[in-house]
Amino acid sequence: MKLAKLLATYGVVIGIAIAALLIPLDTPNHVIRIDSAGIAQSTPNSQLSIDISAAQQRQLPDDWRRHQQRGTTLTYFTTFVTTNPAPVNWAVFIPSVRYNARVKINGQTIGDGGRMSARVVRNMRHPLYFEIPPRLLHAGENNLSIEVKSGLDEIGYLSKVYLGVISEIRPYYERHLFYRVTVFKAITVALFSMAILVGMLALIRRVDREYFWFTLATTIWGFHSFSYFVVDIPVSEKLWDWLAFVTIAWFSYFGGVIFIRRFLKIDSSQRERTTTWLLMACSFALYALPVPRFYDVAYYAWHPLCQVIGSYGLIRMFVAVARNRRFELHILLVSGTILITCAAHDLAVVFGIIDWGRGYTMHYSMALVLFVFGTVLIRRFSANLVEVETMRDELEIRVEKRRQELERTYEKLREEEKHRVIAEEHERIVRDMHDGVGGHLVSSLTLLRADEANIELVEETLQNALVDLRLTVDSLDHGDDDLLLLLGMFRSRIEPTLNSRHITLRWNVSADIAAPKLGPGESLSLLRVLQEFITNTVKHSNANAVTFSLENASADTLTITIQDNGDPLHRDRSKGRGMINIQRRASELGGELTHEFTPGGVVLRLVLGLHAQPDN
Amino acid sequence: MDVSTPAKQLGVAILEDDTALVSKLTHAIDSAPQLHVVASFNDVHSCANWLEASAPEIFLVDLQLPDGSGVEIIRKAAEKNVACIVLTAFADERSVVSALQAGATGYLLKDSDDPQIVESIILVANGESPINPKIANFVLKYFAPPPPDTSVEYEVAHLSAREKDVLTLIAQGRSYSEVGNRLQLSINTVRSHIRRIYQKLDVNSSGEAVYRATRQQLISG
Repeated sequence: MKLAKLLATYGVVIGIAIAALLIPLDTPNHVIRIDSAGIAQSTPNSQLSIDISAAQQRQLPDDWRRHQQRGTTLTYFTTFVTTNPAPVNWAVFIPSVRYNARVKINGQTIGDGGRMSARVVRNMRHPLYFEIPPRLLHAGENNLSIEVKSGLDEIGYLSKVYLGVISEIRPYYERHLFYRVTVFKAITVALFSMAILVGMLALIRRVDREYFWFTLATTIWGFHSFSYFVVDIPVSEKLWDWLAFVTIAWFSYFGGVIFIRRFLKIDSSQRERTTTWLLMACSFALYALPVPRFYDVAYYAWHPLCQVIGSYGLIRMFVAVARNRRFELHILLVSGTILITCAAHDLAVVFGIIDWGRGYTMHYSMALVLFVFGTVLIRRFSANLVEVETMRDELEIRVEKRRQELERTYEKLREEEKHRVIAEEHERIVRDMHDGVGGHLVSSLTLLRADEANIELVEETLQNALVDLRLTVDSLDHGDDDLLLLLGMFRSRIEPTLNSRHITLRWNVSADIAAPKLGPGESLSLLRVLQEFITNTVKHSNANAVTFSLENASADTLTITIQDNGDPLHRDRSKGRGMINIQRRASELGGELTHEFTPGGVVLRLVLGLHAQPDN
Repeated sequence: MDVSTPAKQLGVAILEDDTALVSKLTHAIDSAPQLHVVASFNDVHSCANWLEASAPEIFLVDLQLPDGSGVEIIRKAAEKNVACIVLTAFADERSVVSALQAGATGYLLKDSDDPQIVESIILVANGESPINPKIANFVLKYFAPPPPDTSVEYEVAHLSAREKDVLTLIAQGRSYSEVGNRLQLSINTVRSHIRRIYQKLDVNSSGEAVYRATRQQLISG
């Protein structure tokens, strides 16, 4: 039922289109209309002798094919009567001729449409208009002859001929010229403009191939339309006509088949590619045919084939509309239906079923079709752009949301890491204080609570606690690359103590030394190692000098050497608590510690790697 | 170290809330023939009142007092050209520099023994300003030029090239004599540089105070 309704609807469209095509053409009134004429055939170089009484009469319009007439030249002649006195300001108007004509009044040529010999000028769509010079007309009977020249296909045509006052004739001529030539050219310009516009869209939307095929089909038709209004062809007749024939076929195929398939989002297939090659082959095979077979095949086989090919697109569109009643598809199908109807009309003209003088109408409908399809494509492109922009906006929103999420997660992780690091540092500081100051304070308390408190020992223990606290503060304050600053502070701490014991400190530290990066924990361990040695030297040696030096013994190590010049024989070589502490601190630093008793004194050497990571 | 004996006995005042430490300081100072204690206070308020009418030659000031900070007293005393020495347990830049900015001339470790206490006071009385590597490092950063994108609309004090050299060597742990040998200066010249550097720590305008406060916050982290 629905299908029947659809067919009925488009049947009505076809009917309206046919009715429009069959509307009679506008012709002048109040003028002399030549409906018949005698004919005489002549060859190009022969003289024409006219015997009016014996001449064969032909009704106008006269299509030579109706009389199985072939040839290149036919002369039509007749007489017409004018008033007395003889009129002035008269003109002759020939709406249609194929291909060209020369007009004579009373044996005098009043004009022709151009070249009448080889590569005859093609005035098939171009109405002819010639003003009759004054005093050429006689009062009473006058002779009119029209020599019609056809082209290589030897098919000629002459429409009715009109004579009359210029003021009556000329407006019709101008109207015919406007609709049949000017409008034609304007449509061609519009087609090329549309092709350029859609072509630019094709460059942007390469993934949507319908834009490309539309551009190609429109361009091909644009070039085909030159055959309608180019009167003086630049190439041979056969080549020009061949181009006209093949451009119709290519337009029908690329426009009616390939473009429609891409428009309906049907993918390309091997069959398409094969058909394309076949069409190209047939195109060139057509050219290879000799004249007149070339024209016979072109008119009676090639043109119908183009109609069939073009109808594929219409059928496809019809099926698409039947499945999906989108308004856009309806509009396209209406324009396509009008196009095919006009194509059928033009085919009837080619066959001679419809008077040739009505002219081809497909070009007019092409304007509608290409305008409609072009508009749809541009709308589709805009819709795609809007869709892309919408998607882009959505994507930006999602990306922004995700970025914010990631930022929040990162911040959270950073906070957690910060808290972890702070907690670890707190733990380390608490551990250090427990091991250092805490231990000393507890020892002091224990000593004070003893039955016989050793005040000097208590003072020494508390002093050690204060020293350890200062070392802890120094280790926390310096940066990773300030080993010299750390050691400088150490020097400022120990030098007064050494001075008070009359021990000279020799400081052999160069500013150019390459040092490892130490975090607070490692710095404190290093300071405690050095402090322990100094404490031992002050308490247990008879040294009067301590030498502190740094050197890069190799490219990736730093050697810290601290030595006193005390008598090693008087030193306790056992691994007391202090030495055990030193060893433990050195291992915490990841360094290699040596403790030597030399004749020159006691030497503590600590080798640290330069590329170890700090503990913060 | 060369310690010249002052021509007259120097009056020393003490502001410290630890009574045991006050006793120790009083004992050490009074034991030295060149020095004597003229007053001692355990709060800022009474000390400030006394300072209105009196002025010792030397003032030993603790910073953490029950009723305020000793920096206020240092500022008032410095206006009267009193040499202030800040009492500190650690001699770290946090506790010393604010005192130096207020006008203190040096610092003294609280656990110093008697001879060290006397020596430090006399050195300050003779114009020396003690310094250690951490304080030197802090001062270098404090006077570092502002970042290129910072607009500084007021005049700020800068260190001279020589002053920067002195501070850099001290920050590396060099002694005054080693600094003098390196830079071919006498020890007294080195001490003069340090004294001048401390004077530059005092800000000259409110704008500069803001800038310096920002720098200090950045350095202290």
